[in-house]
Amino acid sequence: MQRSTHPLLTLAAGQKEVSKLAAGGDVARLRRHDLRTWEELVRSQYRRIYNLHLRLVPSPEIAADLTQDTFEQAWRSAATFRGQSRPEVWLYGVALNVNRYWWRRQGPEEREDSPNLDDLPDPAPTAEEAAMLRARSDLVCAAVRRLPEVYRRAVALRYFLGVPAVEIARSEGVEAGTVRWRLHEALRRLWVMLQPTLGKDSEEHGSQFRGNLRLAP
Amino acid sequence: MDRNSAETCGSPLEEILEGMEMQEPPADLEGRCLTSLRDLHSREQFARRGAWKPVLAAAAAGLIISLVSVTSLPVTKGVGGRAALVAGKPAIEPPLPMPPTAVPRLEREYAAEPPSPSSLESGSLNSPEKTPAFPQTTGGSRPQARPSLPGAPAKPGAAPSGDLAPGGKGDVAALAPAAPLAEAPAEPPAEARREGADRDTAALRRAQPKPLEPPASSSQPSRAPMGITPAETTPPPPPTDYRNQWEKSNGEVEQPWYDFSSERRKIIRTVLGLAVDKVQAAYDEARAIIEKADGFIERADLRLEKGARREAHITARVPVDELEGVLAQLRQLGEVTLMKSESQDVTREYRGRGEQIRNLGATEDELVRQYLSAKDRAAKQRLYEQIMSLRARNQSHKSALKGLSDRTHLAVLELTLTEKLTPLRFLVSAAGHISEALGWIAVTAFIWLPLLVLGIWGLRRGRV
Repeated sequence: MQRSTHPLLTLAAGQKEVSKLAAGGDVARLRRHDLRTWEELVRSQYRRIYNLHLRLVPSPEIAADLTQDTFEQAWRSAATFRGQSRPEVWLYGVALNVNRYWWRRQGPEEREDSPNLDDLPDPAPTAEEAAMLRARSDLVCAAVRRLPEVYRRAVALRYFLGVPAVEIARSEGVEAGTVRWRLHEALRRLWVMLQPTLGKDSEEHGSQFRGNLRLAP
Repeated sequence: MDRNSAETCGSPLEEILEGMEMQEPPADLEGRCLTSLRDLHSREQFARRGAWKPVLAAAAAGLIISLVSVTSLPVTKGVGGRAALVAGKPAIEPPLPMPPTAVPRLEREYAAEPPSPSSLESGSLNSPEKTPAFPQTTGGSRPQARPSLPGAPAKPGAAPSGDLAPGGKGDVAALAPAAPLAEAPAEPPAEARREGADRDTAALRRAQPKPLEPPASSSQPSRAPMGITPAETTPPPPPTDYRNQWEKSNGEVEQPWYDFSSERRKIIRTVLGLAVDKVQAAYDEARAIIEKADGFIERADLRLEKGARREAHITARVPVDELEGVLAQLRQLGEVTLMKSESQDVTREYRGRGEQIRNLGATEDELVRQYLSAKDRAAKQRLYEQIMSLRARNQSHKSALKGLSDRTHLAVLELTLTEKLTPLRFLVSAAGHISEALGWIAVTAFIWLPLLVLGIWGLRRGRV
């Protein structure tokens, strides 16, 4: 994996760009609805917000609409932003709320019910399965969409947007350990949902998957 | 590897989630997002400005209402109204002292010496000195003192007009003859008696020296019937030539029942409205014009209220002969907005009352003559009662005729001075009306103000 093409590098670059916002007292400007600050935030974050929605909703058009809604909603609720986290992290939280409301408006039939995961063993994808999943990322996204809200939120913030668990915890108002447990549970549930789709026997690689899952410090 | 990569590069599933390639958003997405934000920004700015508008309006209204309330307080109004505050002087000025020439004719008559009982004793009951009681018809205050008003004695011991004798000796005592008792009264000529009822009684008087005899015999001096005492032997006054007296008085009606002129008698009332620049100055000037023409102010009302249109009303009495000149001078004060003149011909009533008075006077003279010549006590008593009744009727007629004469000789002039309505004054007047409306708004503030505050609060909360 080359560092120059690794998505994490892209994330890190984006975070450095965004961090400039929080450096110069931009929280107050955002709360004050300073248009220039908001335009800067839009230009730096609209791609990431769009991709977040794109992975959580079925169509790009909806993702674009929700991206726009995200910024509008963030503008309206700027007064509630107290600066406990970086502005972009707060913006991601707003985006996830917008996404959740959208799903709520669609009704319960739109989202498939998650299977009963309590009785299933923890699977672990093989290298071939991982390659297949990487090629069919839409399957993973569909599985993420089927996760319960708390897990979906943790997965989206941590993996889609690259927010560290500690910062997620600060933004969500929970302990960092809680976030890490949610991530662990989310991955487990994801693999349980994805395994039948791939047609693999989950009994063979269950221990491997469990052993490879590392919790963030 | 940094902390993020250490966190994320764990299981293959994590790598898959983190390694998802970011897709390029639609080309117009950035523009859409920016446009929506700008739209929100502009709407918010408008809402902020719009939200401040009612607050500012409410503050301004509160300020105006406070000012109006303060200026409308009863303590600032006072008795004389707000004009006292504005002009620094009372709204209604006390009437100016009347010049001596402005004292009306009747008042001068009242100011004259009241009739004395000697006039009765002399028998000249219709003489000019015997002024009857006359009600005050003019409502204007006249500062000139009256030495003696009818019904009030001018001198101690002097009986007022109508009282026959002072000291409570009885009314009949006034009828004591002034002529010697020995002189028997001569019968008036028959032709004079016939004509005296409807024509000049002066002729009758000239023919009658009125020697009166005592009402009772000299044997009862202390207990004369009806208190009549023997009269002193004073010569009767010479007969009065009332026609000459009328002509000498230059038309002034001292005794209107002896007015034999053929002039028509009319009651004239003129209403004049003027639009002037300065009401106060025009008011003073109008008063001066009226008084210069021997008129007088019957009623005056000057209103200089702040915020309202200034105006003054004057009700004056002006001699009829001077009316045209006064009107011509008053017209020069401003623009005539109203001119109305009314007249009522009362010649018939005027002449009729004069004739009645003269008839009654002649009859009274005849009765007095009979009374003086009567020897029977009962007859004297009867005649005395007839004379008193006749005299009361005659006084009533004289009073009415005096009033009629006064109204015909002094025209009523009602003058209204109004401030000209310039644009500035129009604005001031409009501001006055608006302040009044705002006062009502303030009264109902307990209804709409909470609703307004709730509305603004809800609007701002809904926008955020």
